[in-house]
Amino acid sequence: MIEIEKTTALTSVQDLGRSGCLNYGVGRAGAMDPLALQLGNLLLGNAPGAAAVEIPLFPFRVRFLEDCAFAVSGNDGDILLDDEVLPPWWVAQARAGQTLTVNASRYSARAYLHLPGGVDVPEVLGSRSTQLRGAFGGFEGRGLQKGDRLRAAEPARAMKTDVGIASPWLRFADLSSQVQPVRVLPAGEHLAYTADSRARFWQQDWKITPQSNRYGYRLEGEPLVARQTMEMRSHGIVPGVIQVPHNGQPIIQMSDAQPSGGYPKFATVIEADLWLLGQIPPGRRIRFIECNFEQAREAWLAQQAYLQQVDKQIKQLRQA
Amino acid sequence: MIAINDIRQIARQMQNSGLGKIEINGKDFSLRLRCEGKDFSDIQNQPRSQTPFTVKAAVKGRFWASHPMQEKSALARGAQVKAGDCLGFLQTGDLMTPIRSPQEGEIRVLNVANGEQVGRGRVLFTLQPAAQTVRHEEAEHALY
Repeated sequence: MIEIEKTTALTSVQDLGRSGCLNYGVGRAGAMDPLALQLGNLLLGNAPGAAAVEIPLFPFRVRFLEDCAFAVSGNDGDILLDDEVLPPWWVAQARAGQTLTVNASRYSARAYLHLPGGVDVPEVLGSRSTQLRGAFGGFEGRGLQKGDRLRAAEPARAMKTDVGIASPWLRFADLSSQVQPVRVLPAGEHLAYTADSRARFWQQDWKITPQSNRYGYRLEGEPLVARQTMEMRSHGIVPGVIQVPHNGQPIIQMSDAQPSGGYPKFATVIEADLWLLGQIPPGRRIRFIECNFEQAREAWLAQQAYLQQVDKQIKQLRQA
Repeated sequence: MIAINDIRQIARQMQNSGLGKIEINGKDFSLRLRCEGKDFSDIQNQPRSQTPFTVKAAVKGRFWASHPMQEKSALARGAQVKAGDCLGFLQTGDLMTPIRSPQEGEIRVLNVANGEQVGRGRVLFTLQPAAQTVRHEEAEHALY
């Protein structure tokens, strides 16, 4: 069991999200960086989609009320167990009474704290993710607060600790670049915009504004202009969809996207790049790279193959 | 290895000096000598063995002096480390294994370049044990 000592209300319990409920008007929710969520779980020998604590603001601090292994994924900032510095993307053993502090990263916006078996909260509609809009799921349907106590599903499970994985950033992102490229597919209303606007969409860097969160990222740049004013009925949308409201400044729907919306859809971020987008903090810039369905599918398969490869290596290490 | 003549020489010196016990750790050997009828308390205030020790690669992999995701300065010659301190990492595939110092000391030689692929057992660091005056009980413990 862990007790939260320092956090903001934006910290929440998340797994891979609540799929299959859009028809009830229930959004997906789920980790903003599903790749980090799965990798952290693999480090602990958990099911890849086990629930973890998603931390968007730092420093974050918890106290272990009993001996328990844990992993921290997603970030590269200083992680301290009492005063011992732990490497990033690491699994370690805590003893009762020890304090874990997770500090801000250089590259990424979010960290995940994983416990053996996952964070033990009830499953609602097939998921343990916090649905903030509906105030259900996760820990009491809300963000975490100081004094909250979270239980691990398998607190006493013994495992090999003091080992980690190389960050997926080293493999899938360009650390030297100030502007991260994000691959997108043109979507439904793409051709309803002027040729100039379409060209500008790919050419310019888009700033992620401070009005960005788990619901969506509001971007800022030279506005996109439609060839004529569009009024559309609300229709289904999913995380990754890039909408353009009347002001021409795009909005990317993120994990807590509502299930429907009426703005024109300019493009969609491919699923394989959503984790990276979920980790880019407000204030940074991104650039969109056009790709086709086949490339998007290949990128997805490459990521799944990578996850399987890491899983295999960790299992071999445990058997050794 | 250590030559048998060197051991004889050490034994003679022990007799002459009245030293009761000695332990020498080299790169690939460990030697313990005991001289009968002597009072072990003689060594009470002798410094602990100053023979350098090495840290080897426990697994094969790519050596990183600091974690590739963190811009921390790598440990240089002369750096003081404590037992259990992380001296670097070995990356095998996607796994990262820490290289930890078995005891307190000072880094004398870094035997590997950052990013270099190393085999299991390769000597990565040579360290000088921390200079300290050992107390009697510790000396006994160290020598038995």
